[in-house]
Amino acid sequence: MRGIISKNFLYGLAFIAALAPYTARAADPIGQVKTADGPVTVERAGASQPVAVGDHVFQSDVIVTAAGGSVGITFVDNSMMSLGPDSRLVLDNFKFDTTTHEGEFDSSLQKGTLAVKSGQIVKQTPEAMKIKTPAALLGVRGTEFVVRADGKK
Amino acid sequence: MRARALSRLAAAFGLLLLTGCNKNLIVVIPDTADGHVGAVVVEANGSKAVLDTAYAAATPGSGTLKPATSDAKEVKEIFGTALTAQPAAPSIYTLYFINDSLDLTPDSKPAFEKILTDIQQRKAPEIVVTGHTDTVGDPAYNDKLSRERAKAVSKLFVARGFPDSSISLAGRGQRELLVQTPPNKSEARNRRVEITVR
Repeated sequence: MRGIISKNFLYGLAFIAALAPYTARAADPIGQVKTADGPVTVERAGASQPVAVGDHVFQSDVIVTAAGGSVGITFVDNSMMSLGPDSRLVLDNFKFDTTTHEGEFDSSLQKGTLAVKSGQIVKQTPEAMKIKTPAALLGVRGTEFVVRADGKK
Repeated sequence: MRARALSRLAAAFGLLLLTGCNKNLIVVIPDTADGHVGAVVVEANGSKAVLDTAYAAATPGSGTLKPATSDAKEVKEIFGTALTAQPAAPSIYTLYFINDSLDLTPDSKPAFEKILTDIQQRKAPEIVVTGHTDTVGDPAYNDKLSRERAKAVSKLFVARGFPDSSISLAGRGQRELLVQTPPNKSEARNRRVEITVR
């Protein structure tokens, strides 16, 4: 006997569940807003909208804080990013396989301040998380660091 | 060289011009949870630096990267707001089940209640239920089995009122053995489910 659930139960589940490992598609949320203070917006599909705690974020979103704004996001690989005021972060590319933990996470801090704690993507594949700024390219081996981008080279 | 002229000028006036004209900064900081110091590789202008000690810093600008060091005070001054906005770190709990059932072991019952308390204390809580197997059976079968185990366990949370939409499932098969064993070895401690609350 090897499982914690009975065989019959498993057979039943096999009929109703899609058993393919979860891999993020373009429409899947890649993270969730956990903290938000002051003016914070997201630019998505050409429109800008305010951000609140609990909102999901998606690949290609641009997270923007104005003066006095800050926001914290936890991603589906348990990595975390938080922005200080007057900041602009583009979530360029995010892929994560929850079975193998393989993935890639590319983002661009165009200006402002960013605190990062890497997650399972980096734990599985060091430097699979990259952050671009106008002045540099960062390859993340883990775990915590902070970045400020001038907004110009 | 313009940079050399600038630094001569700076020396002449006793000023540090670098920080005045270049705000670009990267600092590796100790992990807030366990103090562990990781590493970041910085590339700029064809040069490369590995920051792998506490408060190792880079200030990418017009020239090649030079080693620099920051400190806790400077990090707090510049990044205080960003660091305050960091989400609460995810917590990971492990639950064990009586063999071939969905009944928690006596030890795991209080652990389950602790998870529910943790969930209540978070803003916008989500949980990830990750199943693991022992090494009996082939790895592909175990990937499926571990996911099914996760699916079954997620129902325990739904039954206690946690919304299904905030639960995600993962099956890691036999990739993360808690106890290292040879193939085809039945091991109760490897047949487990991890709950991440974030």
